[in-house]
Amino acid sequence: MSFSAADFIKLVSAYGADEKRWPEDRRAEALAFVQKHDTAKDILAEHGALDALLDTLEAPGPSDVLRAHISKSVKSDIAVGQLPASNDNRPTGRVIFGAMAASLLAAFVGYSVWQAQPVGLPSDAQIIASIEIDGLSDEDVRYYAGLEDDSAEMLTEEGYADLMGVPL
Amino acid sequence: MVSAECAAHAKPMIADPDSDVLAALAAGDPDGLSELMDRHLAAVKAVAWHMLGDDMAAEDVAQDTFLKAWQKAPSWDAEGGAKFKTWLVRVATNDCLSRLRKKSEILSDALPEQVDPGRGSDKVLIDDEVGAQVRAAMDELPDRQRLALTLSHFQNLSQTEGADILEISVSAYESLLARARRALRDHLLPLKDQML
Repeated sequence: MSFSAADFIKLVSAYGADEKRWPEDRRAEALAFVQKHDTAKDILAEHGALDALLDTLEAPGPSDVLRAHISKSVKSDIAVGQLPASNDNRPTGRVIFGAMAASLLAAFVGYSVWQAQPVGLPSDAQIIASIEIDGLSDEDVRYYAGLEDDSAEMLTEEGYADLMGVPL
Repeated sequence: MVSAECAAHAKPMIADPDSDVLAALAAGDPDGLSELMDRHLAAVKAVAWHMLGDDMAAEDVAQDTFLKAWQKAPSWDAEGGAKFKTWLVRVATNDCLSRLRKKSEILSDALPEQVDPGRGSDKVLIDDEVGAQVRAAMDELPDRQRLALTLSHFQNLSQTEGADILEISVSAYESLLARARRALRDHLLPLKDQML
């Protein structure tokens, strides 16, 4: 397929008049097109003017301070033991994210099991929550949660049933 | 064993010109970072400067980019054929786009009133310096158009490298470039006799 005027305009509209910016696979055909058509030279001249204006915008080079800051930051990373990726055996962000996701999944499963328990049999969590609401001491809370020995003051069976609102 | 057909369609593996520096960094050679800065610090800072128009912000972006490069270099995997320089420029451009987005959010929060459409033009007329007028015209471009122009015109990257960095197709990249240049021509060429 031959290189058309539309192809040329599309090329120059995107990359400007300087052939070094033209895609290699279209450069030779575009140059040949310019040789054949005077109008193409006019189009190039207009885009060349824009290129010249853009070339006035020259970025300042990196300062010595910037180089020093980068070197200093790397040295301080080394000093605190932050190694480049290949030498660093600490958990990566992906591993940490995976662990967090697994914890959330476990919590969700636990919550679902807890929710699925029969209404008449309160779970440890429900017991603790109810006791905390009733303002009992930490020792009582630990006892009812099964975390304390029998030395803690005990409620009677009726008192417990009354406290929890469940039938004996 | 690779068949002849597969071999014919395989993407040619081109050695990364920075493979020697990457090897030095992986080996913990302190000269590796210095060499990497010699090769690419100016380009990375220039990309950031053309995008942000602020020298201090551009140096911040360059510093962050090179710290990430130092972390990344030892585990660099060029199986996809990507060059390390392309990765560097992509990191810098993503940082620039992120900063521009945050700046835009702050400005929209701080200035809820309508922006005066003539403000940019007035600024251009007030400034005498050609570079300032071109800078103002660049700043008015949408961020991705300015980025495409930066990569093509100021960094002389190939169309495939530019499209890779923007993570778009070559035709979409060319469309961004054409729209950017069209806007600049409309803005700047009427003033070119005064400027040049």
